[in-house]
Amino acid sequence: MSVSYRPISWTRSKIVYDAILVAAVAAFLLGFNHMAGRAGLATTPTDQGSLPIRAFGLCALLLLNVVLALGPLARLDARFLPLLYNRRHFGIVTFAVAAAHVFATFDWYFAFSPVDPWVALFVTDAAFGQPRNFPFVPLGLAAFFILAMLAATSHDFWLKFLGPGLWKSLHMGVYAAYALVVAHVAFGALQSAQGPALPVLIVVGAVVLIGLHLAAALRDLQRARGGARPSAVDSWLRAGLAKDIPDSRALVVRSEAGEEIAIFNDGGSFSAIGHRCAHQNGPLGEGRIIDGRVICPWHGYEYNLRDGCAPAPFTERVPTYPLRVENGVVFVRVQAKPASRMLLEETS
Amino acid sequence: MLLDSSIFPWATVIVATASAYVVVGCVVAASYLLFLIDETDPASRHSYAFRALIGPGLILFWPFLLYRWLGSPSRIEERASARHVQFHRAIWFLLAVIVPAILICGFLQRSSGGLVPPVQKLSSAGAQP
Repeated sequence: MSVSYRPISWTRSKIVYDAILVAAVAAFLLGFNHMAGRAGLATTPTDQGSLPIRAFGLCALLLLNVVLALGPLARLDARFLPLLYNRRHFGIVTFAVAAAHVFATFDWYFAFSPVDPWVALFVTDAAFGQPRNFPFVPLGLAAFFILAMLAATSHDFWLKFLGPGLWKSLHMGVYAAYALVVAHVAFGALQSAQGPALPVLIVVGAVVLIGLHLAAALRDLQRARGGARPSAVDSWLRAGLAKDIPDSRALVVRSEAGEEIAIFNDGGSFSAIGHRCAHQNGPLGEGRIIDGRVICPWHGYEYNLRDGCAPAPFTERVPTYPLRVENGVVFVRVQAKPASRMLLEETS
Repeated sequence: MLLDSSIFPWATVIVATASAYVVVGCVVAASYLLFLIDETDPASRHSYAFRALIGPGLILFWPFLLYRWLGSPSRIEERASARHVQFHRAIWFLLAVIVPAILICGFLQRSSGGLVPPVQKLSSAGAQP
């Protein structure tokens, strides 16, 4: 960020998003008590005290599945992009529900324990020497700490403090957290779950999530292979036909060096800027164009298409690239322009 | 719930170490938020409410904070690079193997009778079964 920090940058759409999310979580938690006995998600019908633990735990698992699915969904189908815009708040809510799961466990199992609850979490049911009883509690605890770390560093301050590269690497820890959560459930709740509900949920969740990510990754690879081809002259890339870039949308091409360039069509006027947002590496090529500026679909950062600069008082900037259109074919040059030069170079 | 006292000392050491880490982190984070943040990050000037939100992260990352505070200023990578995209892709190819393996192990354990109570040797820990 290049202006003063705010605790939470709420917009109207983000408030609506958050309200729907919180309402959905509340509805799930309230409905769980009603449905748990019939679906076999509770160990025993009389074990009412453990129901909140199961409810928060299952809710956190579902939220984690959904939040991890938003990225590939939006890459595969642009209609899911609005769900991606406030993913940070989704992650915070996921952490909050996971925290409720941890503290509900403390409250139910360790309320009167003479042992420190945190110590007890490590030693409870932890038959480390017995393969049949894999210790599922420390797995969940490790996942919780990763989610806590991500939630604690979610503010824009951290992006600036750590730098985008380190920040992004740190937040990729969510994938380790997901694997740990799956193991926590597989070796914990799954072992005592009655009925098919939990087994089906965890398997379907994993299949859908992995399938979406692989589908999105394969599509990106195919696009990279079948996309831009270097032309014979200089370092210009033949990006594609101008008529194939819809109005107010972009075509993303990748150079041989792996540089991603988004070529925008703004009412018949073409321009090329870096595909990755300077904020959090968001995909600018999937953003909307408003008044000559592209809006990053992730967090709403804006960049002028003509010079790649964010509007004042922001100081972020993305690279811009020389571009020309010849006989309806768009060519883009891989070397970024000097910042002061104008962008548009249409030759026909 | 059953407790295994054989790993009790290790768990106690881990929790005590983590507690000490957090206490030091509180001191470092409070010092940074009160005295230094305005100098190191101009965007924080005249902005106070957000400091409560970054406090937990400063407590978690206080060694890095000290490194940045006391050490020589290191170059911060200005942009996340394309390698993150490739790394992200590699992670999901890896998870496509790991997650099904975890689930298969979980289902195998479930089909063999699920959890069995671990060995109970609690007396030395002083905790109640």
